[in-house]
Amino acid sequence: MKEAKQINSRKRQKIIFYCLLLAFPLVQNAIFYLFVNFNSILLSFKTYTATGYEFVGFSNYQKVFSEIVGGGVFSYAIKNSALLFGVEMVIILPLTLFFSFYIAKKYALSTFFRIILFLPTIVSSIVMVLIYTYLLEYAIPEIVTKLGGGHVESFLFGKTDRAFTSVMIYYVWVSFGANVILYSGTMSGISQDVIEAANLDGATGIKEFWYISVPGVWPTFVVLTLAKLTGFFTNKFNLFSFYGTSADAKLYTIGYYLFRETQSDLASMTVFPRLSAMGVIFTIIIAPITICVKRVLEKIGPKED
Amino acid sequence: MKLKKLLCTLLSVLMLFTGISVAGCGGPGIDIDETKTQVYIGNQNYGFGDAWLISAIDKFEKRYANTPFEDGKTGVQVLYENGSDFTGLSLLQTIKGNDIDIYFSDGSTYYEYINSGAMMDITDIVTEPLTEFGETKSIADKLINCFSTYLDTTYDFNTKTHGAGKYYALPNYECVYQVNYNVKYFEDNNLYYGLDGELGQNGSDRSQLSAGPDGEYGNYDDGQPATFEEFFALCEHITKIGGVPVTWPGGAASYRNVYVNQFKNSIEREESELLANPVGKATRLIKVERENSYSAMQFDENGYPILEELDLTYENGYNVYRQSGWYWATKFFEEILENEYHNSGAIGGRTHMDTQKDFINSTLGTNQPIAILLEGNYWINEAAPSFEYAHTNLGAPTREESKYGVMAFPKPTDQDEYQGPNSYSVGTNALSFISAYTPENRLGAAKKFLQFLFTDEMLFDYTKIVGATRGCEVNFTETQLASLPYYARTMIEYRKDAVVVGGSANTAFYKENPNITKWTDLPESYIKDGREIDAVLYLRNQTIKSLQDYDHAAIYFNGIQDGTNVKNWASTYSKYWS
Repeated sequence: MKEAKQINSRKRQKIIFYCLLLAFPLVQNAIFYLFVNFNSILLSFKTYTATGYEFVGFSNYQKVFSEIVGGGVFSYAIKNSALLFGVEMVIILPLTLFFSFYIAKKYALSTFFRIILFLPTIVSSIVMVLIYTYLLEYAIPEIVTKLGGGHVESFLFGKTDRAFTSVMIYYVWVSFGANVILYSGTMSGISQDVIEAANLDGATGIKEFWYISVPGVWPTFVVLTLAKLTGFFTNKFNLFSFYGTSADAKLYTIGYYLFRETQSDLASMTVFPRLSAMGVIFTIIIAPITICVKRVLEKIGPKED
Repeated sequence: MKLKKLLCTLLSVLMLFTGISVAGCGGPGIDIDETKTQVYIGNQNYGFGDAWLISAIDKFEKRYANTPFEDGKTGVQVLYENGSDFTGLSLLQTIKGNDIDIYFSDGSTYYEYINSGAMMDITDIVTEPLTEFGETKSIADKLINCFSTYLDTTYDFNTKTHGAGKYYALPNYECVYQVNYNVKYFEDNNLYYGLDGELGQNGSDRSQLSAGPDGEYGNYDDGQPATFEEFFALCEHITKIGGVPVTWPGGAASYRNVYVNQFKNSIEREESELLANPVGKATRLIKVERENSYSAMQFDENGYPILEELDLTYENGYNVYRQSGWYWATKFFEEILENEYHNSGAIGGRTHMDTQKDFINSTLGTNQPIAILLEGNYWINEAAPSFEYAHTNLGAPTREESKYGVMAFPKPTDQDEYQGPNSYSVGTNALSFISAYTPENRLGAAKKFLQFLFTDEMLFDYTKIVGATRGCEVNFTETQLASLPYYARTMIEYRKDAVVVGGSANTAFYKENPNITKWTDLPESYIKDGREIDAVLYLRNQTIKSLQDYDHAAIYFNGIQDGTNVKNWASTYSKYWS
């Protein structure tokens, strides 16, 4: 009887401990995720009036749809966001994998590359943007002029195509850091026995990369790809760091557009319902795509064995 | 190994430095005097700076050194903090948690702040006569019309009458974007227009000057270019004598948008207020027809846009975007860019402060002189370090002695529709107010300080230090006027004869759509198909040069009409239709 009581007491303590352990993340999730998003969904059906918020049905959704299909600023934002995602997938991701492989294999100057590529991640983005801006707007024109090359057009504040390319180059550079650490760390964790066995079978260099390293980092690849995908509508393309709220409309991404609408000096509470509706629509679009892509990647991905 | 350690140390120092930089943005670090009542201030640190505030605090603390504002304490200690987040939605979202009593803010959407319960009712200090300061008027009596009708929540916009009066805020500053010019350069090079309509006057004999844009002889704008034609002839002449006619900060698209908005307001004068509340007669709307499913503005045989009148209502309010000011303000920039009347800074990455410095230094040494700067009226205050440097190192006059002035924006054409006084377009979202979360023991002192700032003495001090006015009528004596720095004096003289207009309205329409008059954004232009070119909206010099045959201003204007049609208007504003 006494033993049974002791077991019950121990069980109760375990349950209490388990509840306490879960309580903090659950409460946090409830407040900062469920409540916030539930409130956003409610807000998407309201409008701001002189006396407060009023229910207006789907009118915000109608406005957002006309904005999306109506051309203008939003068409630039959609185009740029898509382009950015394409660059992420086609340029940044393969380059990151190659650099990670290079660093993991400890080839010449690999430590130097690791520091250089990781540096933008640990230094404040504003500092990095300032350095880059001064390089483009002052240092390069000065050097070119000194070498007799004549006047150099502004890179960041002149023609929009030139500005977009300049910001994109910066974006590609700063995007390496964290990913390189993740990939190279995972690659370093691949069993040396497996690598040696592969080497003995004649798999070196590119073959080792393709048949050993890529399958080894595939789960990380899936996670990072999904993270990029979910960031399709929120990627701000570092525009705020470069231009504050006054970036040229032709440089907008959807993420920057959403951010700017709420942060611009003269933003007002009237914008929240429309932006909430926009957020709901984007979630409806991106959530199923993300789930499908996850399943496909997991299905088609290489297996280590 | 040593290299790794060295790198780690360097990186740590770099990160620490970054951290310290951020941590360094604290307050003034003054000790709290427990024997006095404290008042805490948050000052939006834009171009108007804090020199005026420091001076006012000093005078206020001395004046009330022996006055008890709460039990057991005598005197007052005012502490201020400069910031860049005492503005708009950022402030509204954080105000409850801030331990700040008075805000000198910008971008405050007044009625949203009131609805959110963020502003304290200050009707008492605004409506009571300032007898304590030896004055007979109240602050409400001093406010200029655009502030008075907006800040008094009992004002009836339809009957144009004030109710009992209820106020929650006062103006912070009058920010006006305008044409600023180097008066000395103009005098030295005879760049004023004479009675014969020709350039060549140095301005010393004002009776020999042309009437200027307002058409009236004997006032401030005499001798200044009256029309775009005269303005660009002046630019051409400046180019020929080796100067640069115009510059502006090229580093931010929003600046150019602000100028287009403000110059549009200058052209439209009182009718510019129709954008905030589209009810009333618009007399300068451009006639637009549909051609091949696109909007096409119509021109007369002289090449001028055909103008027409219309009584605007909430129902047909989209026609406010047909105001000819939109076309002419963009045309103004297009002409400058096409003819290269600007310097490279205007289309490059020069910041506003770099541009101010370029302007000041341009007439010193062997630099190429810049005649005109497009900037807000805060520039003269914001450029204080540049003036100081030029004075100390380059032998330039001090900021107070330097001769810079305001140039009235020229009329687009000499057509009758555009003639009349000059316009002085004020933003009404820069507000001073007391937080609703101010503790009771500090409220009395906070209210007294805010009231003190609007006494005649302090309003004069403000203008003398900052070079701008503060949303109140100006009643300076001749002696006071004579003691003002040159730029401030020209501002006062220009403002005296101009029509002062605001960009807000005390109506449900504006309260619920305050973004409609957003200065930093221009109306979106829907430029489609074969007309998909880099419109003048973006003011890209190279593109415009390569497409000189296009009338970019017209393309932009037509694109606005394509986007602001009745269907789009109805989807947002039909609830205001009667």
